[in-house]
Amino acid sequence: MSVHEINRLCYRASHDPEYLAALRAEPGRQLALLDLEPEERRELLSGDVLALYHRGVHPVLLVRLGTHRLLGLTPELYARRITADRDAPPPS
Amino acid sequence: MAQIVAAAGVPHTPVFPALARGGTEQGHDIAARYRAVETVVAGSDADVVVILSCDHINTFFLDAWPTFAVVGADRVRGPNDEVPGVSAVELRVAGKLGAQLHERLVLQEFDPVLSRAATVDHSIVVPLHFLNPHGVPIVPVYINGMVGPLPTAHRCRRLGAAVRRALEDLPARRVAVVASGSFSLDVGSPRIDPDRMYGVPAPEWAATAVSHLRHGRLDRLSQEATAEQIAAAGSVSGEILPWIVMAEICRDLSVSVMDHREGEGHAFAAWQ
Repeated sequence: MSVHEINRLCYRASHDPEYLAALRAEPGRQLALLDLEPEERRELLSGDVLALYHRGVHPVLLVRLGTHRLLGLTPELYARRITADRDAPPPS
Repeated sequence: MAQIVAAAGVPHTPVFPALARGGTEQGHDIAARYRAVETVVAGSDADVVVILSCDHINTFFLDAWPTFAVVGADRVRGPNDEVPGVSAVELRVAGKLGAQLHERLVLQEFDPVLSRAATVDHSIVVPLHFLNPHGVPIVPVYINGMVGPLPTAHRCRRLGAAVRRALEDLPARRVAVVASGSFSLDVGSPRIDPDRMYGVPAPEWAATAVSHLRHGRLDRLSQEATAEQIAAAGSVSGEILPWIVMAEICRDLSVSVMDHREGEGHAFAAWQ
């Protein structure tokens, strides 16, 4: 269910301007409100998108963390980090 | 009895509208490629456009994710995501026709969601921006090409046949059918290009799909468009499924535009 929460976070960030602003301003506080595993929270706060991808977060949602410049990410940084494992299999 | 008078398939890259207006050589080229398809669609004098697309997890969310959906509202608003230079507007929907299509699909043992209120994303707005400048009423039909498990290509062909029978069973309308999407495209996964947010992991598959469409080889296309092939072609390559539905709907039409360039993951195509 945690991955679903992360997918929801990405969805809300791109469709709810108030949530986007809150996530930008206080990421730690916003993530504390979600039912996440400690490791998932750490991966989000550090912008470890490759780890989140391997957990099963949908790439079409995950990419929004980069396009909206959240959690320390930029589009360039997102692309660099997610392509660090080019041979990762597609999600089943 | 409604008549299928034209069909088309195009990509929906969000930057294309701004690029086409930008006055660059690349922009002129993009505009010309869409215009060749628009000429066929507009020339068909259609009075409704059925647009087949894959929601990019914008119209729907994973709390309740439809394999198929038909919009039966009177209008939709879009884009609900970012399309540079294109503001969100109300788009006219042939809502009654959408509801009738939904009913006739259920009677043929397909069970799409019927959406009575929806917003739409770039996958609907960008094709219509280029192909429907006069605002002919639309019927959006969604096929899940984003979230596994995807419907099989064979099932999408059967859906296309059911849509065709349903339309033929409806009162006289001139119907154009537009498929939206690419054959190979990745957004957000490790197979994007390292210096941008997307990539085309399997251009050879896109070329194969184009060849099958050009020559009407729908049996081979649906045999080869396996879940594994689609996954290997990129995270949004399930967008080939609306093309397969469209190709089955318009199987009695002849291809008049098939514009694909080596290395691309998409095509600009029309049938009449």
